[in-house]
Amino acid sequence: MTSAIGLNGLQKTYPGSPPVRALRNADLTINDNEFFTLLGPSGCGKTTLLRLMAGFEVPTAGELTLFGDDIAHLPPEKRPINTVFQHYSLFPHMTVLENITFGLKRLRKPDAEAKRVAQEMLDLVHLSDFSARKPDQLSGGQQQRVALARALAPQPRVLLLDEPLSALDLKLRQSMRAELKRLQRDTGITFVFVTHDQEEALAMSDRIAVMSQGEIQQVGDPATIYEFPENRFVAEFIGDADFFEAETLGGTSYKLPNGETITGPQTKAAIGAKVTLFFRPEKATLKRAGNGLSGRVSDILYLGNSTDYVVELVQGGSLTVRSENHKDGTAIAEVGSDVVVEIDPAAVRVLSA
Amino acid sequence: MTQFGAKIRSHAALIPATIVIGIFMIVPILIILVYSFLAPGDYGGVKPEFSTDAYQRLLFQRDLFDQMVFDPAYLKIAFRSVWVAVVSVVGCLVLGFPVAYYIACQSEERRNIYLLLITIPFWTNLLIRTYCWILVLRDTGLINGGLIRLGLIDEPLTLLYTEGAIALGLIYTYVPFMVLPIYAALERLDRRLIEAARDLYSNRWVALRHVVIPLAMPGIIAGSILVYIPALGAFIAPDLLGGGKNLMLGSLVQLQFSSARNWPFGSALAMVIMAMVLLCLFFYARSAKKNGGGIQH
Amino acid sequence: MTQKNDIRWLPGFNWVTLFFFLFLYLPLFILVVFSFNASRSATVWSGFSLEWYVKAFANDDIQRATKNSLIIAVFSTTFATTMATMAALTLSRNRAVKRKNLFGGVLILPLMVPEIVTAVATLTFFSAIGLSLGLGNIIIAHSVFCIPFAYLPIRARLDGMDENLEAAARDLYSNKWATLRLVTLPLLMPGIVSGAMLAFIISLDDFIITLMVAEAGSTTLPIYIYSLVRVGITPEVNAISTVLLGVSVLIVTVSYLVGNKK
Repeated sequence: MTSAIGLNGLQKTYPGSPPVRALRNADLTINDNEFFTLLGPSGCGKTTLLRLMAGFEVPTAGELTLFGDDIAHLPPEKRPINTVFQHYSLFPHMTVLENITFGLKRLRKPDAEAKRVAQEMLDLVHLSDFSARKPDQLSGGQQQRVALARALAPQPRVLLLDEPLSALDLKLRQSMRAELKRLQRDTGITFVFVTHDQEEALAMSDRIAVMSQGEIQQVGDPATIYEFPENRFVAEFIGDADFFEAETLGGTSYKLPNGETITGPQTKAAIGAKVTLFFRPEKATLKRAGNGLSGRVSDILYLGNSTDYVVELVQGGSLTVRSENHKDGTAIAEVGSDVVVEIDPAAVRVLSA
Repeated sequence: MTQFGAKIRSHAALIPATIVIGIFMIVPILIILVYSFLAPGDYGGVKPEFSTDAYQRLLFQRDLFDQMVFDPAYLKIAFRSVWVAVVSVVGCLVLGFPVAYYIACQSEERRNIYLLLITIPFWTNLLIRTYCWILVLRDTGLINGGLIRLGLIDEPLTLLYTEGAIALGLIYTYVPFMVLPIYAALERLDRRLIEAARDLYSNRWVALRHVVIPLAMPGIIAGSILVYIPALGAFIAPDLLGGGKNLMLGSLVQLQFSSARNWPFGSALAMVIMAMVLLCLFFYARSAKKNGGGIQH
Repeated sequence: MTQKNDIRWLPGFNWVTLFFFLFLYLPLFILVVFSFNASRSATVWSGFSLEWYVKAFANDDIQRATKNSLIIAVFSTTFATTMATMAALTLSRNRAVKRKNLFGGVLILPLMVPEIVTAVATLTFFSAIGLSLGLGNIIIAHSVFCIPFAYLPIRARLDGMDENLEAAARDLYSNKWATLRLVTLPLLMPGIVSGAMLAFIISLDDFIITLMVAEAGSTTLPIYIYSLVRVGITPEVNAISTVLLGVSVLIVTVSYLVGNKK
């Protein structure tokens, strides 16, 4: 696989007192023809990284390469990279067609070719009949498609998407997910997608980089990120998680603060070391009786396809168990009922503190 | 009747301003429109007889034999006025646009300081500020004095009492009227549109031409009108910096109502100025209609 | 500070801006410097002196003209601002008013008519109806053309104000007048102040309309200065202008600082 974008110790610090270290020290490789997502809460540096790739910002230090060429200090117009902006940023004084041909004209493509490509792009995003409209005569979803068509028209090597779905309502957002995925497959262009929505990231990406406080926390495919988060931030930010502080007893045994032991994965940590254990709520099972942590249901949250049971443990602390709803829709426990939480040892993860 | 009463009440607060402008602005302009079709009185004022002499005088002169002969003297003055006003608009635009753009790109705190700095000179009397330009431009003034002292020239350049001096004075007077509306348009401009243009292979200047300038157009047009209208009828700069030989419409009108005592002719000239202003506003309204809706983001 | 790295940066625009401000302030610089000159010359510096300030304050003509100018400016600012505020409130807040564009157009008409036309039209009108009120004539004329200058900032402020605040006041049992007094006017005050300041300068600065309308004995400062231009302005005029400039810069700066604190 060839690398489309390479980051080597990339840094961005905004002057001020104190200076803002928006991107601390990023090393990353984004492969060619990949749907890559930068995921993180607002202020984590994902937008800064995107703007550095686009050329809107100049890095403070480090290397930024595009297919091996250093582009860190190239102005945006010299980079074969296009951006789909968060609020679309369509030129309000131009028609849809003029917006889409804008980049092609700057690249000095002949008019006929520009028109032909624009028409193809309009077909691609299902807006063939809208070429003469002005942006303010389009709905949000249509503007979104025009923004996509405009950025794809010059056939960039890499397409950057800055939270492009955040301004759409839920239904539209979900259908656009599938559409973006299709576009990426059809065009073969590397997509770098920025979002704070973990569900969106999991659904669309080939690989995800989770970011926090200007640093890349973990890079991996969606399943790895979800199943094997490397630190507490990643575990908490993606999906729901139950955490335990525990002490290793060697082998696969861990001692909980209340003295009980549970079984988990093998760990390299020394005996007696403090570690954090966690599991996903859907990996535990609620039983009337059996082996496991006993407790009492204190709260029930009905979520439609599943139900969350909050269990107060007899030995103190609480955890959440997610249970798929049965066909008849009856709950498997009521508030106040005594239960036992059984945790699959294979689903328990150890986080280094 | 109650409906009419309600209408009066809802409009009550509008009435003073509208009536004051109606009586002391619109009626007087209608009066000079009427005066322009009357004959001049012997000591100023008018005689109540219909006459188009005032308008004929714009183009023709009675010669010794009482024949009407084409005389371009006043036409020349009108052309000079329009020409100087247009040059001033262009000068204000060339100087004012970069300033407005530069200020619009600053932090909010700095923007306010720059705007304050633009308004401060307004607080000094315009006559005085224009007079200062005499001190700068005259034969023994700062520029000529400086150039002679530097040995670049032997004889002073003729700077004062030229059309150039008038245009300079007008640009000096009206350039803030150009900067402020353009600034207002640019301040609202979304910087991400510039980023989008750069992203789509435009360099700085191409982005300026294809995105910034078209979107600043309402401000540019408003600024041009705000400079053109007062420049066309300007009195102070042409009078002080133009001297006697570069007469412009404003001074000519003033002359008819003071020493020349030909009110109908003065009124006709005022109507010519008004006609040029209306023409300009007409084109503005038309272009605003054409661009309407497409400009707002 | 825009950096060269800023995506919007255009090379050279900073220098044009610097030139612009030098251009704007050069005459003021000359004015102030030579008001302290020891000799009569307005081009050659011959030492520091306050002589011209002393003379200006002793000059009866200057004093009378300044007094007239201030009286005219205060009255016409008050009238114009009051009328403009009422009109702006109605046009911005009263939904019952139709043809708002027409009324708005009438209000800014004085801006659209070249001053010289306004000047001779007003002169003609006053002489036709035989109006002769001394300074009153000038105050009327100034009030008229100051209306749009007061109106525009007030209207802009009103349009930028959240109408829900007024709705909230009505919801909390204020009647129309209490809402106006307790909510709308206090919030509108910055607009009214800048409108009034603008009207005040425009009135103080006006020359051509005043020249045409003024009767004997109603000399204002600009007219007095104009009468001196031909013979050469004495540094007394520089001195009095510097004082006016100083006072106004002080007012503007203080109001700017106060306004920014909020």
